[in-house]
This record gives sequence, C-alpha cells and structure tokens, in this order.
Amino acid sequence: MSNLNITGDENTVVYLVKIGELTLKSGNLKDFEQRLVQNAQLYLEGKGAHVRLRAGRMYIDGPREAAPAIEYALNHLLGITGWARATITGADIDSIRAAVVVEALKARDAGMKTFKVEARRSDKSFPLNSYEIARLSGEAVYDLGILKVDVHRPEAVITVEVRERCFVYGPETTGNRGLPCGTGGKGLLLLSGGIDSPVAGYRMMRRGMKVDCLYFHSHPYTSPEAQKKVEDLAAVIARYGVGTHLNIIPFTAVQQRIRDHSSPDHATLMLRMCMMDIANRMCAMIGAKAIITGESLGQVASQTIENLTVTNSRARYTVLRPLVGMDKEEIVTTAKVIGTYEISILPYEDCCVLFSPRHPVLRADLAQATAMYEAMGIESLLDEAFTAREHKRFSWL
Amino acid sequence: MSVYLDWAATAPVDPSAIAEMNGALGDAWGNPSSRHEYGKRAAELLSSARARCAGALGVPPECVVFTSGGTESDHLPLLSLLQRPVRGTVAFSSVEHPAITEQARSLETTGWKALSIPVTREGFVTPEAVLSSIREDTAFVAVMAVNNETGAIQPVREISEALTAACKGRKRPHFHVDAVQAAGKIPLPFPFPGIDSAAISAHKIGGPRGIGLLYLARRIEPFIRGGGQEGGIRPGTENVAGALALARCLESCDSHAPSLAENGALLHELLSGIPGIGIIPRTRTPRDQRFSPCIYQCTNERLPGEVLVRILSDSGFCVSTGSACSSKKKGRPVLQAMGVSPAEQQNAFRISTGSATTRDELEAFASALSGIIARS
Repeated sequence: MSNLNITGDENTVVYLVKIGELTLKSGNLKDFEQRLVQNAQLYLEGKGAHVRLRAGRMYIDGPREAAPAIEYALNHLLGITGWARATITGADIDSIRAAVVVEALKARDAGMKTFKVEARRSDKSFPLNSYEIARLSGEAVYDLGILKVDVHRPEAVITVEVRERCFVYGPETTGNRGLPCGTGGKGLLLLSGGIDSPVAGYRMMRRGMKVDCLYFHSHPYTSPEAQKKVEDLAAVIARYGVGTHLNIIPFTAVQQRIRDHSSPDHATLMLRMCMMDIANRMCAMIGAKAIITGESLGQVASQTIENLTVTNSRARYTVLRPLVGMDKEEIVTTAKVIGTYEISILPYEDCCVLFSPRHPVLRADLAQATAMYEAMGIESLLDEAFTAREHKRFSWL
Repeated sequence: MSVYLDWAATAPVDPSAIAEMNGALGDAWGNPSSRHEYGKRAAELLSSARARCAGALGVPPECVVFTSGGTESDHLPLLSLLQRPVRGTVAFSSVEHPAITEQARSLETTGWKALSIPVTREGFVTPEAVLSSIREDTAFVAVMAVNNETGAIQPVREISEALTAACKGRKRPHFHVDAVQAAGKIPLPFPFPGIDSAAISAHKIGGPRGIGLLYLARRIEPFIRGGGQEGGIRPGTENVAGALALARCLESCDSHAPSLAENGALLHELLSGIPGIGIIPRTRTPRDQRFSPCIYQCTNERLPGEVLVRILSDSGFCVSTGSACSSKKKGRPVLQAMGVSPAEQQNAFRISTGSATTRDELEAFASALSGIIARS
C-alpha cells in the first residue's frame, strides 16, 4: 500500500494535484517532476507545507493556516492541470458520508446541480467495496436533496479514495496547465505596457521557459506612470514564472537619433531594430536563448510580414512570437484570466507621439531598411543605453 | 525647492485660514442644528462665517449658500431644473468647465437639451452669441467669469443685460456665472442685476479643499434633499470649520493687488522673448484688460505639452496642461472651441500665478523654459 505518510487531523489540509503534460515526457519525466516540486516548494517556503509527488500525482499538505498560500501556489503554478482540496476522514462509512455531503453542499453553493460519487478502494481491509462506498455516499446526498444524481454527465464529481487514510474531494479547480518553469530554458521578453507582450511572456512561461523582461523608456517623453504600468505587469507575470527580472533601458537619446537621422515613416521600424540589438546584448548577458515578443500579424498597420522580417533580421537569437497566430479576442481573454488586462488598458503611452510616425511604412524593404539603420551610426548610443540600464526583481509571491 | 506656477489648479494654503478652521474643529464641533450649547456655538460661528463671506462679496447673507466646492456650486442651480415639470433647453459657453458641461450634457437623458454657445477665436463669449444660441424654452444659461485655460474674462454683465433686454415679457432664463477663477484675481462681476447665481471655491484662494459657496440671488427649487440646511438648497450638516476658512480667504484675498497685474505683465514680456513660444490667443496684448493677469496659456514649437510639463517639473517648475500626450486624439476642448490647430493644442500648456508669486520666480521660470525649448 502506498505510504504517503500524510498525518492528518482537523488542523491539516491536503491538496491533490493533477499533473498535466509531464506525463507525456517519458524521458525527462523525472527532471520535470523534480522541477515542478521545486517550484511548488518555492511558493510555499516557510509555510510548513510538504510537497510530494507519487505515481503521477502531487500531494501538498500543511497546517490549516497554510491553505491560502497553498491555493495561491496552485493557482499560479505552471505544469498542473487541476487540483482539489481533500478532506481526510475517519475510516468509517459515516465519516465518509459526512464529508461527501460537505462537498455536495460546496458544489451546490457553486451553482452546480448534478453529481455523482466515484470511489476507489485500495485498502482491502475496508469492509465495503468501491461500489458500495459510492452508493451509500451518494444516497446521503440524495436523501438530503442537495443535488440530483447524474451518472453520465454530472456537473460535480465527488471522489472518495480509501487507502490507509480516506480522502474525499470535490470538483477540481482547473490549473494553468503547461510545463514547469525552468524546464524550457531562458527567454527574454520585450515587455511594453500593451495588452500583448505580457500575454506573450505568460505563454512562454507556460511552455516551461524562465522569462526575464526588457523595457525601454524615453523619459521625459514617456511618463513615470508608463514605467510603473510595465513594472506592475512584470509583477503579475512574475507570479506565474516563479519570479522575473525587469531590465529597464533609457532610450531617449536613441529615439532622438532615430528622429534626426532616418526618414519619419521608418521611425518605428528603426526603433524596433534598435530594441532587437539591445535584446541581443541582454540575452548574452543573462544567458537567454530566445527573444520573446508580443508581435502579431496584421493587428496594426505596420505589423506586416515585411516589417517583421526587417525587425527579425537584427536578432541573433531565435525570436519566439507566441501570439503571431492568435486573434485579438483570444489575447484579451488570456490577459483577463492572468490579470494583466486591467493594467494594460491604463492610458499611459509607451511611446511619445513625437516619435510615432503618422504614416508608418507598411512594407519595408529589408536592404533599404538595413542601409538606413547602418547609416544612423547608432551603435555607440546603444552601448551607452545598455550600460545605463536599471534592473528590478519581481517575486512570485 | 520648486517654483509653483499652477495657481489655477489650486493655491498654497493660507495658514491663517487653517488656523481658524482648526480652532473651530477644536472648539465648535457641535452640529449647528442642535439646540444645546454645543449646537448653539457652532451655529453662531456658522452665522458669523456667512456674514463675513457676504461682507467680503458685498451681498446679503441670505444669498450665501455653503457647498462642498466649486463643482457642487455649479451643479446645484443646474440640477434644480430637474424639478421642473416641463423640459426645455440649457445653454452654456463652449469653454465652460466640465462641472458645467458634463452635468448639462447628462441632463439630456432626462429630456433637457444642451445648447453650446460658440466663442470667438480669442475665446470670448459675446452677448450676441448668447442671444443667437438661446431659444424660447431656454431655462438656464451658464457663462464663466474667467476661463480657467486662457484667463479670458467673459463679459458676463453685458450678457446679463442682453438677456434681460431680450427676454422682456417672458421668464428670463436663470443666469449662472462660474466665478471660481475670478475670486481673488479680478474684481467680481456680481452682485449685478440678472446674475442669478455664481460659484466660488475656497482652495483656489488659499483655503482647504471641500468648501465653496454658491451665491444665489434668485430662488431655485432644491434638487438635493435632506435635513433642510442652507435654506434647503444644500442639505447636510454644515462644514462650519470650512466656512470659517473660506470667510478668512475671501477677506484676505485682494484682487486689486498691484502684484497680480505686474506679474502678469512681466510674464507676458518674458514669454514674448522666448523663441518658439507663443501665447494663446496670439492677439493677447501685454496688460490686456480682457484677460485675468493670473492665467497664461501658451504653446511651443517643439514638445507636446505633457512632455514639456514633465521636463519643467524635473527642473523644479510646476505648470500644467489640460490633456495627456497621446497619439489618440484627446484634444483640449477649450482650445478646440477657439479654433486652435491640433498641433498647437497638443503642445499647449498653462502658467498661472497668484498672490505669492514673485518676479524672481517668473524670471527663473522663463530662463528654464527658454533653455528647454532651445535644447529640444
């Protein structure tokens, strides 16, 4: 019989966690599992909680006071598909029935109407078999009129597991899915205050990347509020990515050089090429292997494939654009779920109107743009900007 | 050490006003409607504050209604229209403060129609424009005494006379004057026949936020209801301490102080000497009597207003702008109404002075501004 050694009493809470895609990764499963447990432990430092992984399931137990911290961790941990808080009951059918009723009441309060009980018994010394456990528990709920029985497509599945201890738990809370942070290498996100880039960062975190961020400001042309907005966005995605570092580059001189030495319709393109050049330097410094952007195709007039090609030509690392195939609605939905949307829509502009062309070039020519870029002689300004960078850390808690 | 040149937004607090306020908060905290000694003491102080405000304004005490500030004083006469069974129209100049324009527009959901009175390119409302804009069923007209963005002094007395003459034989519309930027800066245009109400705010003249007054010469039907205080017009337990502070401010402020006009003239001279800076409107002359000397709207050739304000702030000079720097068209409604070009609107900013502004401050400001424009 499995020895989970979960010592339970009324003061203990237990969470059962379903792990997702990891189960597909047969080769490096152990590494992925280890990373997942490590990440969970990072969220729970000092809370007196224990994290264990057995047979493809994760168990977190701890004192009652740790429940909020555990649930916060489970709502932000990447690499799990779902979790449920379990009650440990006495090894008798009456205690089990009572716990099942409690779960049924919770489900009803959450608006669910139908249920079924699933039971699994691995302790053969328990006097009733799984079917009987399920039937008797279900009856308790039915007799009290809490929910209707539906064995085919119930809204709430209440599970009873009888092992050396008895666990009862209700419907799962959906997890973030994906892969644990740190299993996918390191990426550098070009973060702005818009809706897209935070979502791009989150999506790559969800593929297991450890993501750091890069932001460009042009004080006094851009406001401190615009920077604060980006910091707040970094703070939100940091909660999913087990922390992040935000690197802030002063780009005023670069913007001015672009304005003075390139044709106005190419200003934004030149700017994005400069950003890529800085991103290259940053990746080298922090050991990142990819640049992540929130670029999409066709969302604004200048996001054409030709323009993306020009920007892309400066990158010396693989550029990941997780949003390139998504439409705005999907991006907005994700932004709302992860909590970046309300911040992104605050009206503080990333770029001063002075530097944004009214009629940006739509289909830039790569050779022409490259020549224009080189003619600006901007390398030394980029070096200075990079040297003058500021750095802020954001925690996952 | 910063140089404060945003007096139109608010004024540094007058310590004697706060002292009076604190005194009252400490001693006379009773509810003026209570019949015991605490109440009576508070009621006496309230009454004395009212008398002092009335005295400073040259109006009867029963015309003074204490409110929570300029915005509320603007709202009360407008909202009283909602008590009328028959809907009509309300007219206001195209350069009024949002307290008037937003509230007037919101009345449209109840069947009232809002009419906008156009201004000249210099930002003035003429009596002719008012008369052309109003209709038979216009029940309310609002024109401010001094415009908060350009300093334009509106001819509210002439407008009042024109309204009276034009509306002979029928009910004259209620004429309300937002005097928030006038108090303490120019001689007030009321009391005057035909000016039925006016709004004043304490914090523009050194008082605390949260207190103002409504000068009310013509009876209005109360919209806000409650305990019947302030003649039923503005119920709610009275802010005795605030009223005392306001009284003190009205007594101390001196719109005839020579320094106000002198500062205005100096500022005009200094601004005219900076290449790349233009005064809005261009036709404003030095010591132009049509403008409050305390407010100057300018534009510049180089930088969006918000950026310039930020750079000036970094250098220790506090001025303001009405809009955010943005590629989205947010615009400046007042400048828009005057026909100022979008480019000039975007680069516009406001400098406003007050009783404590010194020549040295203005000179330092002009020098900093000049340097910033030259370098950008």
